[in-house]
Amino acid sequence: MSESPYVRINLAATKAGAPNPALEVECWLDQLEDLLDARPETAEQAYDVLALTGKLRRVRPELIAEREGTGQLSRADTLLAQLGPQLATVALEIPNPDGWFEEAQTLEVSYEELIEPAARSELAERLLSDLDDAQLVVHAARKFGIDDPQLEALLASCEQWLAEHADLFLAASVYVQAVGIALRPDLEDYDYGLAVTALKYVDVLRAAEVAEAQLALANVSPLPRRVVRRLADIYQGERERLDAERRAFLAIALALWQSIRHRAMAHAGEETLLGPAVWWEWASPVGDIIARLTLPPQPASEDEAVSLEFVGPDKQRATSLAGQPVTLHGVRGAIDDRGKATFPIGRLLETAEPLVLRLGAEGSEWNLLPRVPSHDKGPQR
Amino acid sequence: MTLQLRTVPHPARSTANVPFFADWQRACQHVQHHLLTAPECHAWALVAPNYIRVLSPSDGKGRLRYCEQATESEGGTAQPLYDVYCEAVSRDAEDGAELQWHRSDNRLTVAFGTSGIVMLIEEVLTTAFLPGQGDPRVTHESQRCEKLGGLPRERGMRTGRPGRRGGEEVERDRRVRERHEAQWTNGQRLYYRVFRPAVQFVKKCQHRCLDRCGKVIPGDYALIKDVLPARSRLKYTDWVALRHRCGRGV
Repeated sequence: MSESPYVRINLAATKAGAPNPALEVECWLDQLEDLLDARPETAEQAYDVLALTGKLRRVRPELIAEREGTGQLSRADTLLAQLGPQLATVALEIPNPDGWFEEAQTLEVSYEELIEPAARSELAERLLSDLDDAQLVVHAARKFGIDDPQLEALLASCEQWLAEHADLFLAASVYVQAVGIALRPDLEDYDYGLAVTALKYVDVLRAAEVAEAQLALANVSPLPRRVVRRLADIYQGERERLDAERRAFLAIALALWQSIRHRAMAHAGEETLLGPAVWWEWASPVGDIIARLTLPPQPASEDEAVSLEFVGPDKQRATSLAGQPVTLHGVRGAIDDRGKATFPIGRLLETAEPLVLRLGAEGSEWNLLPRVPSHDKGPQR
Repeated sequence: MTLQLRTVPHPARSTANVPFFADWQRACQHVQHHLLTAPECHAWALVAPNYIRVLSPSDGKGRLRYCEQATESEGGTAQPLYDVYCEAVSRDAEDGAELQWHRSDNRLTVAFGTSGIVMLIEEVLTTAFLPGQGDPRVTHESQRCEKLGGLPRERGMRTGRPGRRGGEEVERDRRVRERHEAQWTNGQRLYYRVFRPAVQFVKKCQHRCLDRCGKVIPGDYALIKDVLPARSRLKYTDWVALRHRCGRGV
């Protein structure tokens, strides 16, 4: 089975044994039996007999025998030997490729609509099956010496469209895999014309393989071990640095809180000196803008406003960010038209998200820059 | 007067009955979508012969009027058709219990009867319909078009080749089909027109209710695909025997 051009054993559903070829064969045999019992007279019945007989001729004979369908196929052969040309002539009244195209657009649109997945699957399956039936009827008619080049050309356009949009038919992927498994592997040698009618299934199987490979990143070669190790080291180092920065911030925040409380209680003239202002910088995700927060060494009160300044690549305030929402240490604010956002210092000090800066409606996180020792004296920018 | 809700037997719990829909709105919606919508309404008339005592499935305008009145009367005027619906579903629920044609998954039970009705039951019956009676999308469009007073525009490969299949050919085939089916018994009509398409629909759900990796798409009817007998054991004579076993005629 794995050598069949219609079977892709690497597909997840096939690997899991989900497609059931016997089920499809059984349905075709059922339908054919009903038609033969009724003895086809209408154009639709003639069309279905020719299509179903063609479908079943493509199937592995053992699958038909297992479903006790060999007799049905012989009955169909007998009928076609007697009435084949007559049935083919009326059957060719049925296929309407323009109608197929119109319905195919519905499938394309269905991916942008809220539609039940099972309904989409049914639509995709019906489109495949309808095109298949039409091609099988044309193939049968040709065997009876009835050519219809105009219809053949129209069906070729349908098939071309299907090949170009094979991914739309992945909604019926398990059905296609089941049909593929049902097909005889030697179909090309057995009947080349029938093998041509099965090409659409190969197109969908190929699309399924591509889709699964893309999902699994199958074509992405793994990174060399030394590169992975180096990246892990960088990640680890960066994590340790951020942890250290946060610990440092919490220590400073505690000292500033003590300073604020002490000042409130202290006599006039007494002051707690913490040293120079402390500051942090963040880079935007693209790296072109820097945000700088400076905390005063001796805040007067917890309501004292502190600024977060945004500086562009031209070293000027990034006023283009005016109006953007910003969240610093979990505290929300907005950038004013001078490229600054202000926050009460008390709220920044009692944060649950130390040193985290997010910007914009989507809340993109900015990257905290390392504070090199020389910078501790103040921004050099 | 608002629609009086009935109950149906639970196919998986021998002594329990469940409400036939949660409220009159849902009951009316299902009557409208399944019993009043072509082509499914024709199949219901075969399943429940009393249908035609209420209205003719061939009368499109009559169905539309019935549908509008049902909503305006909070289901009150739809009581006769609702009762026909409930009776048919009850009988198929009993078949499902007798033949073990049901399957449960947590709180959901799916069952199937010898008339071809598929039903979904949770705390109440949530849906009951005749599968295989037409594409739901086409049915939906047909509902919309009927409201607009027109016929749905057909599409698809099998709609007939322009210039090769016109009204004359369609009429010719209709006459042939009618002549042929006139020889059928009511049982054969029910079997070939309703039961067989329903079985095929349920069996085909096996593939339709799987995503492309083969995982089951939840909330489907495929639960019962495995409880139905194989094709070779569901021929007309087998079906007649099953109907008799369930105490039903053909």
